[in-house]
Amino acid sequence: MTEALRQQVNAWQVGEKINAPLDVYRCKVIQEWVDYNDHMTEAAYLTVFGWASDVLFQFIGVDDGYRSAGSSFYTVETHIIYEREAALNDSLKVTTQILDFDAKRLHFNHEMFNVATSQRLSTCEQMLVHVDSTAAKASAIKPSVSLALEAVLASHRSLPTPPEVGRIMKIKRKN
Amino acid sequence: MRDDCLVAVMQGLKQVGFGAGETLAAYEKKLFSGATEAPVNIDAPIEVQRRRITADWADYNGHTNDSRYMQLSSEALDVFFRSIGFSNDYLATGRSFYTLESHVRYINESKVGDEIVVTAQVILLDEKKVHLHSVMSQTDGTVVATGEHIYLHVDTKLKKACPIGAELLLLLAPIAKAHANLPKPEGVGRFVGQSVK
Repeated sequence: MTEALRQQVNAWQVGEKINAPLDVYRCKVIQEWVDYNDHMTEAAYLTVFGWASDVLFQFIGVDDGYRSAGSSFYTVETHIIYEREAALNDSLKVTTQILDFDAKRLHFNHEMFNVATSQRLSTCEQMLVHVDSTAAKASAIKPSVSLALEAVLASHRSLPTPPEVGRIMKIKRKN
Repeated sequence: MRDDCLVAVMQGLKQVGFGAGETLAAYEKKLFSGATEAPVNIDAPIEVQRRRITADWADYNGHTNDSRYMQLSSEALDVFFRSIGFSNDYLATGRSFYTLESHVRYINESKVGDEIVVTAQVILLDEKKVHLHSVMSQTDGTVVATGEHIYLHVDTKLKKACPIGAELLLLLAPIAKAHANLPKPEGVGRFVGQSVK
């Protein structure tokens, strides 16, 4: 079931043009994601974003081989903003913008859209840390992955920073 | 271990609505209908749930998948909402809470078999919105993750925000008042990537 949600992409090759933002992940809202009202549940939004992250990882060369060699990215923070509902069978797409990265950290933002209406449904901002999974400690991102990230960031630098990024969660008082 | 495997299989079946999983899904839906008991001690963050990490929640290393903390937090806060009277009867009146935002911070790992205690704290309550914070800890007090969520109270027919029902405020307002005196949890009001110290 879950493998069907996976989208295979080839790892970026030096010199290959990179879309800004990355615009790869597509899926349909399936039965197990919806509640009794046939609306997609909160947890399913994160599931969809998770599959979009999987595409990003494949693109920058973080694949099963990279992971079995003892390196991986762990999520440190996730901030989701829910803007609109999604219903059973809706076609969704997710775009991904790399905001920044350094020796050990990676910061990006996903946006989810309804394909038919082009309306944005949700955003998901995440911070990840690169780890040596054997030592369970933060470690430097491997050069091949840094190279890919540098190329993605170079392409994404021209994009405006989404206004939701860096937002502090609070109830705005009217008075 | 055998029990863990059985639970994992049944939870897996629940996802696809098949066989024993179908029964389990129906049972869990029934569980939701019953409003739980009102919280007793409201002068501190309220313990809303204790839950053991099962094998189906873990990755190949036996560590809890990060997406499960979002689920753990939001399901525990569902329990909190039930405890203040947000029941199927209330839903049937055409009112509900929609989540506007969720922010989860992953602090420490947890593993299959660990028992996680979730507490809930009201950060702010206004006429139509409630801002909640959850802390997910090991039984020895080690914090594994925190969650921060804003809920909007809506009229589900009109699809518009509407004031939180008086029957919920009966319990929710005193909790919000008591929790206003608590120190603000360290993670609240942070943007992603902001250092804590």
